[in-house]
Amino acid sequence: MNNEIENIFKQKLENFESAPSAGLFDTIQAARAKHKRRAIWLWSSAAILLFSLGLGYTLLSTPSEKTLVEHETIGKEQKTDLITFEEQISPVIENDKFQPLDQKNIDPKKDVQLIKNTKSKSLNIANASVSPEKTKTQSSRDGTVLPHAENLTVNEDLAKLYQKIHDANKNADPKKAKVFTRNGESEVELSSVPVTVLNLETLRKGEVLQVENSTTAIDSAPIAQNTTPKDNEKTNEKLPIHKLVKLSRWGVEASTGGGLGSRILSGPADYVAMRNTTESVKFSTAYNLNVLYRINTKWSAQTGVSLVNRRENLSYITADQMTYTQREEIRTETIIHPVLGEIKREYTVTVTDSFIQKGTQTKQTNTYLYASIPLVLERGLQAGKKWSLMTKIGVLAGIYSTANGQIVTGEGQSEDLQPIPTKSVGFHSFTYGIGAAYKCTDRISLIMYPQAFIGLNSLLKTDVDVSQKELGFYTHFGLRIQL
Amino acid sequence: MNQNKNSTNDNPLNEHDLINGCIKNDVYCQKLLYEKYSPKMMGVSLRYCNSKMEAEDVLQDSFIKIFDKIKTFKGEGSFEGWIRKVVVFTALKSNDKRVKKFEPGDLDNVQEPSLDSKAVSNMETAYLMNILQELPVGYKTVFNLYAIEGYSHKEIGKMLGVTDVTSRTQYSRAKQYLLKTLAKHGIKRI
Repeated sequence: MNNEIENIFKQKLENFESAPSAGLFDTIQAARAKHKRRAIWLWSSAAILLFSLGLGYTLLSTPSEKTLVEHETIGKEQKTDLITFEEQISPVIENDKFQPLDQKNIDPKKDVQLIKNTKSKSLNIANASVSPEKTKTQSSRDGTVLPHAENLTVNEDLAKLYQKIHDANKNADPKKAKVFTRNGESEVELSSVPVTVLNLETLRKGEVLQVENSTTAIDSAPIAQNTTPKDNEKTNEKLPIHKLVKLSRWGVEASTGGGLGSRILSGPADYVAMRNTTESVKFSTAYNLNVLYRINTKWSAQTGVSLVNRRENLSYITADQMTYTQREEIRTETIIHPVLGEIKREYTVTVTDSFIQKGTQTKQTNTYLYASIPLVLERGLQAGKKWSLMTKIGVLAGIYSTANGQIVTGEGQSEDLQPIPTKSVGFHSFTYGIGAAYKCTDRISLIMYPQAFIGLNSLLKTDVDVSQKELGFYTHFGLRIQL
Repeated sequence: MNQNKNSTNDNPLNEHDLINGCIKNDVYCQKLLYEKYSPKMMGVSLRYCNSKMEAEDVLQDSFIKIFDKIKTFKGEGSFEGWIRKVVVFTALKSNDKRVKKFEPGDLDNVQEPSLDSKAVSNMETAYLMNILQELPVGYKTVFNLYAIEGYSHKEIGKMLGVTDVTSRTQYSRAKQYLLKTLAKHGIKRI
């Protein structure tokens, strides 16, 4: 008998048909398009990240001599002096037996270069644009004194500056400086050429002496007694005032960022698909407040507080609600009796009424706030007079998180978002960025730092075994102050 | 061809052309395929789900998979059977995600009643569907797979990741539960 019932179920339900809601096909097409877009977005993100990592690796692996430009304050204002220097120093280079420098350290196309002499740990200004033709016309060198030194007078302010720099280098000969050219290395009279020699060994570790340009300019002193009229014109030009700035290891940085944040869900495919259908990315913000510690001239470490306020759109339609109510109804039946004729009889029946309450569409914004402590290493890649380029890589350790909004459950209903538990111990995200800094003053820079972070550990474990990892691309703008 | 596109009800394509069109991602062919099979597959989906909305979600996911994976259909067996299989598996996965499948159920003291099969036969199909939907997910799944789809307990065990003995037990309990539910709906003993 029971098998009969099973057969009835099979017969009636095996080929049961029911029309789905109108518009479901369009929803399917939209969902497929969305999946494709998401796939393209993910692949593009992965490609960009790989490219950035490759670029970062390439730049980081470049030899330091080529990329290190620590003191670029000799700018256009001083070029006048350097031209004079060029002409005066060239004979010394031509006629003396100087130790040749490694040619790769000198770029013949650049007028002014700063080259690190690793042996003496001193930084020197090198001039590579020495003209061979000019050198032939000049006289020879006498010992360590320039042959034309007595004829040369350098701007007094510059001389004072170099003297100050030399005061910091007690071991160095105050009257001499090293000059590097593409032809070699030589010692010259300090008073006759605008060459700085900074011996970092005499400074406390981590401190850097830096020549700072001033907006004020003074009349330059005569450069040489036997100058040409053209040279006299040069001497009447304004020369900048220089002063020494001592930069410590420490700095602070505050920045705010904007961009797109998303999450990677893993779990049952259908549940993930449901979440992905109802949730979409929205413009989000991030904030960093960091302390910087310079490890050496290239590397610095950063830590502080990092806040990410990720927002997402939630859009869903609640399920139709079916409600049933029962009521009693009195009905009348008429029976035609062959003998008694028409008989009317009242009887009561229980009637069940059903009502469908259509689902309602809800649209709102969910917010996830994460606070973490970043541990970041930054490396300077390139430094110009005003602009510099750097890259950073690090990890984030979560300390606090909260979530506001709703989440759609499987039955088309919603419930409040629960705060997502962060990893109180351990790191949950990896971060990477390439940024640029614009130096407003010697201590203050404006920074722009596009950066990405990708979840390493799961932030969320629910009872349906769904884990959530964060993924974000934010561009930070902020201020960096070197103390 | 354009004329045909304006009238989707007048399907000029045979199943082979339809499948080839879908492989080429032709939206027109996809729509024809959807219109041809969606009512039947909605019926399948409804049997495994608790509500129409849930069933539509399953149907949506199923057709996404069908359109994405149609090139893997090798022509072995009927195409409808393949589509049906996709829908069934999608429904099973959907049930997997939140629900404990095999509830013990409160059946220990339930006597298996004998019911009036004629009364059941006279019941509306939609009403029977409602009764089936009221079953706990685990029972409903096994009942659907065994009694309606015709899978063996061994196959069901493989599909659900349980032993065939579990499938058999669940089916037995599902049957008892169904009979009890029918009794609740007024199908009296004979």
